[in-house]
Amino acid sequence: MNAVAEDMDLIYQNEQNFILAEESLPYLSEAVLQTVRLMRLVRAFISSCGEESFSVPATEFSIFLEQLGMPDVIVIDIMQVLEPFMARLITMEMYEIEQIEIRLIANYLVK
Amino acid sequence: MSWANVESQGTNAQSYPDSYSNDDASTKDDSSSKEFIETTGKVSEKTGLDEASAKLLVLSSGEDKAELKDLAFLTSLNDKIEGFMAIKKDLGVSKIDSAAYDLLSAGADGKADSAVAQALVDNGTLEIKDGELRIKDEEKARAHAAELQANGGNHQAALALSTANA
Repeated sequence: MNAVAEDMDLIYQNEQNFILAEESLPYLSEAVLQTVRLMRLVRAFISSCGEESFSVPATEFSIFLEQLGMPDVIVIDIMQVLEPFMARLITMEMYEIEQIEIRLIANYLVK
Repeated sequence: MSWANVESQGTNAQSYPDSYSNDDASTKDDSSSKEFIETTGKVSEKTGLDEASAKLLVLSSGEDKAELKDLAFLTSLNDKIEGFMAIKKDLGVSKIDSAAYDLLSAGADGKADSAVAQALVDNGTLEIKDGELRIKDEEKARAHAAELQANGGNHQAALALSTANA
Protein backbone atom coordinates (compact mmCIF):
# COMPACT_ATOMS: atom_id res chain seq x y z
CA MET A 1 0.00 0.00 0.00
CA ASN A 2 2.97 2.32 0.57
CA ALA A 3 3.68 2.68 -3.13
CA VAL A 4 0.80 5.07 -3.64
CA ALA A 5 0.79 6.64 -0.18
CA GLU A 6 2.17 9.94 -1.47
CA ASP A 7 -0.79 10.24 -3.83
CA MET A 8 -3.49 9.46 -1.29
CA ASP A 9 -4.85 12.97 -1.08
CA LEU A 10 -5.21 12.96 -4.87
CA ILE A 11 -6.86 9.57 -5.24
CA TYR A 12 -9.51 9.94 -2.54
CA GLN A 13 -12.12 12.58 -3.26
CA ASN A 14 -13.97 11.90 -0.02
CA GLU A 15 -11.74 12.13 3.06
CA GLN A 16 -14.16 10.02 5.09
CA ASN A 17 -13.73 7.21 2.56
CA PHE A 18 -9.95 7.43 2.92
CA ILE A 19 -10.15 7.26 6.71
CA LEU A 20 -12.59 4.36 6.53
CA ALA A 21 -10.44 2.43 4.07
CA GLU A 22 -7.28 2.96 6.12
CA GLU A 23 -8.99 1.93 9.37
CA SER A 24 -10.39 -1.18 7.71
CA LEU A 25 -7.14 -2.45 6.17
CA PRO A 26 -6.06 -4.58 9.18
CA TYR A 27 -9.32 -6.55 9.02
CA LEU A 28 -9.27 -7.41 5.31
CA SER A 29 -8.16 -10.65 3.67
CA GLU A 30 -5.09 -10.61 1.44
CA ALA A 31 -7.23 -10.90 -1.70
CA VAL A 32 -9.39 -7.94 -0.67
CA LEU A 33 -6.26 -5.97 0.24
CA GLN A 34 -4.74 -6.62 -3.16
CA THR A 35 -8.00 -5.59 -4.86
CA VAL A 36 -8.00 -2.36 -2.84
CA ARG A 37 -4.34 -1.87 -3.81
CA LEU A 38 -5.32 -2.33 -7.47
CA MET A 39 -8.08 0.26 -7.27
CA ARG A 40 -5.68 2.71 -5.63
CA LEU A 41 -2.98 2.04 -8.24
CA VAL A 42 -5.43 2.57 -11.11
CA ARG A 43 -6.48 5.90 -9.59
CA ALA A 44 -2.85 6.84 -8.90
CA PHE A 45 -2.00 6.08 -12.53
CA ILE A 46 -4.89 8.20 -13.84
CA SER A 47 -3.90 10.96 -11.42
CA SER A 48 -0.26 10.79 -12.57
CA CYS A 49 -1.54 11.48 -16.11
CA GLY A 50 -3.37 14.58 -14.87
CA GLU A 51 -6.78 13.08 -15.66
CA GLU A 52 -8.37 13.15 -12.18
CA SER A 53 -11.51 14.76 -13.62
CA PHE A 54 -12.05 12.15 -16.29
CA SER A 55 -15.53 10.93 -17.10
CA VAL A 56 -15.96 8.23 -19.73
CA PRO A 57 -18.67 5.71 -20.58
CA ALA A 58 -18.02 2.60 -18.46
CA THR A 59 -17.80 0.52 -21.64
CA GLU A 60 -14.90 2.68 -22.83
CA PHE A 61 -12.85 2.67 -19.63
CA SER A 62 -10.33 0.17 -21.01
CA ILE A 63 -9.79 2.32 -24.11
CA PHE A 64 -9.31 5.33 -21.83
CA LEU A 65 -6.55 3.51 -19.88
CA GLU A 66 -4.81 2.48 -23.11
CA GLN A 67 -5.01 6.05 -24.43
CA LEU A 68 -3.24 7.16 -21.24
CA GLY A 69 -0.36 4.88 -22.23
CA MET A 70 -1.00 1.79 -20.18
CA PRO A 71 0.09 -1.39 -22.01
CA ASP A 72 -2.91 -3.36 -23.29
CA VAL A 73 -1.78 -6.56 -21.55
CA ILE A 74 -2.11 -4.78 -18.19
CA VAL A 75 -5.41 -3.13 -19.13
CA ILE A 76 -6.91 -6.52 -20.04
CA ASP A 77 -6.01 -7.88 -16.59
CA ILE A 78 -7.32 -4.76 -14.82
CA MET A 79 -10.64 -5.06 -16.63
CA GLN A 80 -10.92 -8.70 -15.59
CA VAL A 81 -10.90 -7.50 -11.99
CA LEU A 82 -12.98 -4.33 -12.37
CA GLU A 83 -15.69 -5.37 -14.85
CA PRO A 84 -17.74 -7.46 -12.39
CA PHE A 85 -17.96 -4.38 -10.15
CA MET A 86 -18.96 -2.13 -13.06
CA ALA A 87 -22.10 -4.02 -14.08
CA ARG A 88 -24.50 -1.22 -13.19
CA LEU A 89 -22.26 1.70 -14.07
CA ILE A 90 -22.99 3.92 -17.05
CA THR A 91 -20.16 6.39 -16.52
CA MET A 92 -16.74 5.76 -15.03
CA GLU A 93 -15.09 8.46 -12.94
CA MET A 94 -12.46 8.65 -10.18
CA TYR A 95 -15.19 8.73 -7.56
CA GLU A 96 -16.85 5.61 -8.97
CA ILE A 97 -13.63 3.63 -8.53
CA GLU A 98 -13.36 5.00 -4.99
CA GLN A 99 -16.95 3.89 -4.31
CA ILE A 100 -16.26 0.42 -5.71
CA GLU A 101 -13.33 0.18 -3.30
CA ILE A 102 -15.45 1.22 -0.32
CA ARG A 103 -18.27 -1.14 -1.30
CA LEU A 104 -15.77 -3.98 -1.64
CA ILE A 105 -14.45 -3.30 1.88
CA ALA A 106 -17.96 -2.92 3.28
CA ASN A 107 -19.22 -6.13 1.70
CA TYR A 108 -16.28 -8.05 3.13
CA LEU A 109 -16.71 -6.69 6.67
CA VAL A 110 -20.52 -6.66 6.70
CA LYS A 111 -21.30 -10.31 6.11
CA MET B 1 -31.76 -4.64 1.23
CA SER B 2 -30.91 -0.97 0.95
CA TRP B 3 -29.37 0.20 4.18
CA ALA B 4 -29.55 3.81 3.01
CA ASN B 5 -33.34 3.53 2.96
CA VAL B 6 -33.36 1.66 6.23
CA GLU B 7 -31.50 4.40 7.99
CA SER B 8 -33.76 7.10 6.59
CA GLN B 9 -36.94 5.23 7.45
CA GLY B 10 -35.61 4.31 10.85
CA THR B 11 -34.89 7.93 11.69
CA ASN B 12 -38.37 8.99 10.63
CA ALA B 13 -39.96 6.21 12.63
CA GLN B 14 -38.10 7.32 15.74
CA SER B 15 -39.03 10.97 15.23
CA TYR B 16 -42.75 10.31 14.86
CA PRO B 17 -43.47 7.16 16.82
CA ASP B 18 -47.07 8.00 17.71
CA SER B 19 -48.17 8.78 14.17
CA TYR B 20 -47.07 5.41 12.90
CA SER B 21 -47.40 3.21 15.95
CA ASN B 22 -50.17 1.03 14.46
CA ASP B 23 -48.96 1.11 10.90
CA ASP B 24 -47.60 -2.02 9.19
CA ALA B 25 -44.89 0.06 7.54
CA SER B 26 -43.80 1.28 10.95
CA THR B 27 -43.41 -2.30 12.17
CA LYS B 28 -41.22 -3.05 9.16
CA ASP B 29 -39.26 0.15 9.71
CA ASP B 30 -38.68 -0.72 13.34
CA SER B 31 -37.46 -4.20 12.54
CA SER B 32 -35.24 -2.91 9.72
CA SER B 33 -33.92 -0.18 11.97
CA LYS B 34 -33.20 -2.73 14.70
CA GLU B 35 -31.43 -4.96 12.17
CA PHE B 36 -29.37 -2.00 11.00
CA ILE B 37 -28.34 -1.12 14.55
CA GLU B 38 -27.50 -4.75 15.32
CA THR B 39 -25.44 -5.12 12.16
CA THR B 40 -23.61 -1.87 12.89
CA GLY B 41 -22.89 -3.12 16.40
CA LYS B 42 -21.55 -6.43 15.10
CA VAL B 43 -19.27 -4.71 12.56
CA SER B 44 -18.01 -2.35 15.24
CA GLU B 45 -17.37 -5.25 17.60
CA LYS B 46 -15.67 -7.38 14.94
CA THR B 47 -13.37 -4.64 13.66
CA GLY B 48 -12.96 -2.31 16.61
CA LEU B 49 -14.04 0.57 14.37
CA ASP B 50 -16.03 3.36 15.99
CA GLU B 51 -19.77 3.49 15.52
CA ALA B 52 -19.68 6.19 12.84
CA SER B 53 -17.25 4.18 10.68
CA ALA B 54 -19.16 0.95 11.25
CA LYS B 55 -22.37 2.72 10.27
CA LEU B 56 -20.79 4.03 7.07
CA LEU B 57 -19.58 0.53 6.20
CA VAL B 58 -23.03 -0.93 6.68
CA LEU B 59 -24.56 1.85 4.58
CA SER B 60 -21.96 1.25 1.84
CA SER B 61 -22.50 -2.49 1.68
CA GLY B 62 -24.77 -3.85 -0.99
CA GLU B 63 -25.80 -6.85 -2.99
CA ASP B 64 -22.60 -6.94 -5.02
CA LYS B 65 -21.91 -10.52 -6.03
CA ALA B 66 -18.62 -9.80 -7.81
CA GLU B 67 -16.06 -12.56 -7.26
CA LEU B 68 -12.52 -11.63 -6.36
CA LYS B 69 -9.66 -12.88 -8.49
CA ASP B 70 -7.15 -15.17 -6.82
CA LEU B 71 -4.40 -13.66 -4.73
CA ALA B 72 -1.48 -14.62 -7.02
CA PHE B 73 -3.16 -12.98 -10.03
CA LEU B 74 -3.95 -9.80 -8.10
CA THR B 75 -0.48 -9.51 -6.54
CA SER B 76 1.22 -10.08 -9.89
CA LEU B 77 -1.03 -7.53 -11.62
CA ASN B 78 -0.33 -4.90 -8.97
CA ASP B 79 3.40 -5.53 -9.25
CA LYS B 80 3.14 -5.10 -13.02
CA ILE B 81 1.30 -1.78 -12.67
CA GLU B 82 3.88 -0.55 -10.15
CA GLY B 83 6.71 -1.62 -12.46
CA PHE B 84 5.12 0.16 -15.41
CA MET B 85 4.51 3.33 -13.38
CA ALA B 86 8.10 3.23 -12.09
CA ILE B 87 9.44 3.08 -15.66
CA LYS B 88 7.23 5.99 -16.69
CA LYS B 89 8.47 8.05 -13.77
CA ASP B 90 12.15 7.04 -13.77
CA LEU B 91 12.65 7.31 -17.53
CA GLY B 92 10.31 10.27 -17.93
CA VAL B 93 8.18 8.66 -20.63
CA SER B 94 4.44 8.96 -21.10
CA LYS B 95 3.95 5.71 -22.96
CA ILE B 96 5.62 2.34 -23.44
CA ASP B 97 5.24 0.71 -26.83
CA SER B 98 3.67 -2.75 -26.49
CA ALA B 99 6.65 -4.52 -28.13
CA ALA B 100 9.03 -2.76 -25.71
CA TYR B 101 6.80 -3.62 -22.77
CA ASP B 102 6.61 -7.26 -23.88
CA LEU B 103 10.41 -7.39 -23.92
CA LEU B 104 10.72 -5.69 -20.53
CA SER B 105 8.11 -7.93 -18.92
CA ALA B 106 9.50 -11.13 -20.40
CA GLY B 107 11.54 -11.84 -17.28
CA ALA B 108 10.85 -14.65 -14.85
CA ASP B 109 8.53 -12.55 -12.68
CA GLY B 110 6.69 -10.90 -15.60
CA LYS B 111 7.38 -7.50 -14.08
CA ALA B 112 8.98 -4.68 -16.10
CA ASP B 113 11.80 -3.01 -14.23
CA SER B 114 13.02 0.56 -14.69
CA ALA B 115 16.71 -0.31 -14.12
CA VAL B 116 16.51 -2.89 -16.91
CA ALA B 117 14.63 -0.43 -19.13
CA GLN B 118 17.34 2.18 -18.58
CA ALA B 119 20.09 -0.37 -19.28
CA LEU B 120 18.38 -1.37 -22.54
CA VAL B 121 18.13 2.29 -23.52
CA ASP B 122 21.82 2.76 -22.68
CA ASN B 123 22.90 -0.21 -24.81
CA GLY B 124 20.79 0.91 -27.76
CA THR B 125 18.15 -1.83 -27.65
CA LEU B 126 15.38 0.62 -26.68
CA GLU B 127 14.98 4.33 -27.33
CA ILE B 128 12.84 7.18 -26.07
CA LYS B 129 11.19 9.11 -28.85
CA ASP B 130 8.38 11.65 -28.53
CA GLY B 131 7.90 10.58 -24.92
CA GLU B 132 7.47 6.93 -25.89
CA LEU B 133 9.75 4.07 -24.88
CA ARG B 134 10.10 1.74 -27.83
CA ILE B 135 12.33 -0.76 -29.60
CA LYS B 136 15.26 0.92 -31.36
CA ASP B 137 17.17 -2.08 -32.63
CA GLU B 138 15.04 -5.14 -33.49
CA GLU B 139 18.13 -7.37 -33.78
CA LYS B 140 19.39 -6.39 -30.32
CA ALA B 141 15.90 -6.84 -28.91
CA ARG B 142 15.70 -10.37 -30.32
CA ALA B 143 19.19 -11.13 -29.00
CA HIS B 144 18.24 -9.88 -25.55
CA ALA B 145 15.06 -11.98 -25.59
CA ALA B 146 17.07 -15.05 -26.58
CA GLU B 147 19.63 -14.44 -23.83
CA LEU B 148 16.82 -13.84 -21.39
CA GLN B 149 15.37 -17.22 -22.26
CA ALA B 150 18.75 -18.88 -21.93
CA ASN B 151 19.25 -17.30 -18.51
CA GLY B 152 15.98 -18.46 -17.01
CA GLY B 153 14.30 -15.07 -17.35
CA ASN B 154 17.00 -13.11 -15.55
CA HIS B 155 17.32 -9.70 -17.23
CA GLN B 156 20.49 -8.75 -15.39
CA ALA B 157 22.28 -11.94 -16.47
CA ALA B 158 21.09 -11.43 -20.04
CA LEU B 159 22.31 -7.82 -19.98
CA ALA B 160 25.68 -8.81 -18.50
CA LEU B 161 26.15 -11.34 -21.27
CA SER B 162 25.18 -8.90 -24.02
CA THR B 163 27.59 -6.31 -22.56
CA ALA B 164 30.39 -8.91 -22.48
CA ASN B 165 29.65 -9.90 -26.09
CA ALA B 166 29.53 -6.30 -27.33
